[in-house]
Amino acid sequence: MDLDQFKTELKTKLATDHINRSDADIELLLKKKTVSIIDKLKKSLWFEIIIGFIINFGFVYAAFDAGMHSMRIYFGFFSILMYLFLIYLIYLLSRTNKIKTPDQTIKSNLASYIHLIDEFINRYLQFTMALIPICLIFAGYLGYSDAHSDLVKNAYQSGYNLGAKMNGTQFTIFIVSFIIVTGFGAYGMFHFTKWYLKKLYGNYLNELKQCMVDLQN
Amino acid sequence: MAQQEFVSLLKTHQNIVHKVCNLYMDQYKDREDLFQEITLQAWKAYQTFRGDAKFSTWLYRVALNTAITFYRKEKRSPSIYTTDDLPEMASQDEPEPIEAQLKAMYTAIGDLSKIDKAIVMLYLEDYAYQEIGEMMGITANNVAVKMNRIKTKLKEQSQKYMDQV
Repeated sequence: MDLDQFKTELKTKLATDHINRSDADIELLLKKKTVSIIDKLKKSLWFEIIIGFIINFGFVYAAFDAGMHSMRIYFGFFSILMYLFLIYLIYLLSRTNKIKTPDQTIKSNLASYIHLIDEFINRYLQFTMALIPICLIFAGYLGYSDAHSDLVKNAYQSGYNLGAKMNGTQFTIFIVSFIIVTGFGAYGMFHFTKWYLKKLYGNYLNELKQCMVDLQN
Repeated sequence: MAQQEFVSLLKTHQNIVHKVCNLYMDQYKDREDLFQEITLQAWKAYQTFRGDAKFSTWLYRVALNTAITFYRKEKRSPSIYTTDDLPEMASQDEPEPIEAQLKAMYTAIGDLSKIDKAIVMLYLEDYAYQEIGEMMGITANNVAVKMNRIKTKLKEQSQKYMDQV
């Protein structure tokens, strides 16, 4: 049984099982929204840019208004970091908008999709993961250096000082447990973000990469 | 004006889009979604269409690119063609051997990878290896090698389906 034996019949079979569309049907289709991955990416980028700006307003406000010196530095630093990420998201959006229409060769079309989605996933993961150590180390350092501020002293006096109620061993156990829990939290966060990105775009990206392998082999 | 021109061209060549949809999607709803997506992508790309290539060749390229990169949020069913899903050529209780062979071949094509499907589609449309290569972004020699491999695979797979019947 050979493919060439059935060439005509297969063409006929592929061309059957559909209803022909009229001019009006096609015009109606032109008014609908596209569901391509590029449009999904664009929507996602727009959403993140808008939400990012809104959250950053809060960060900037906290950077100027927070009572503690460490909080001001913390939020100020994060607001700068967030702006840098927002600039990157805007750059990614402009690149997504520039992606060529699908009338190029199948190889270049696949390559541009793979490159864009790969970059989006990697940068997103890198940024999210970079925030964890920055948050922990930076917050720890600032909290430690701000331990003698009036606000903290007041908290001690009001009985909120957990450390003062513990003996040396209990305090060590508390600190070690805290580090372990935070470590597990960071580890969990890393895997959750990876899983989420894989669910969103990863499986699709793997399919595209497989297509590229098939094309090149 | 451009829209009217596009609509008229697409209407004339809609068979191309239907063929691609039938080849890549095994469910009616998915075919409809893909048809809509190809139409929208073709309309977007039409703004830059200069007529260097024939409209049909250009439409094949857009349709295949869209089908290969088509994103489905949820998979409605495994992408396995069953002979029940295929359009009947004739209403018979016992299919003729040739009919059964054709169905087996069609099922085997349905099992091919997205890239191999695109090559088979263009081959069935009598495009030369050189033209297929230009559309795919690979050399004509590479197309010839792939085509030989695909033919062997289809022969084996369709035989397997025939043996199961």
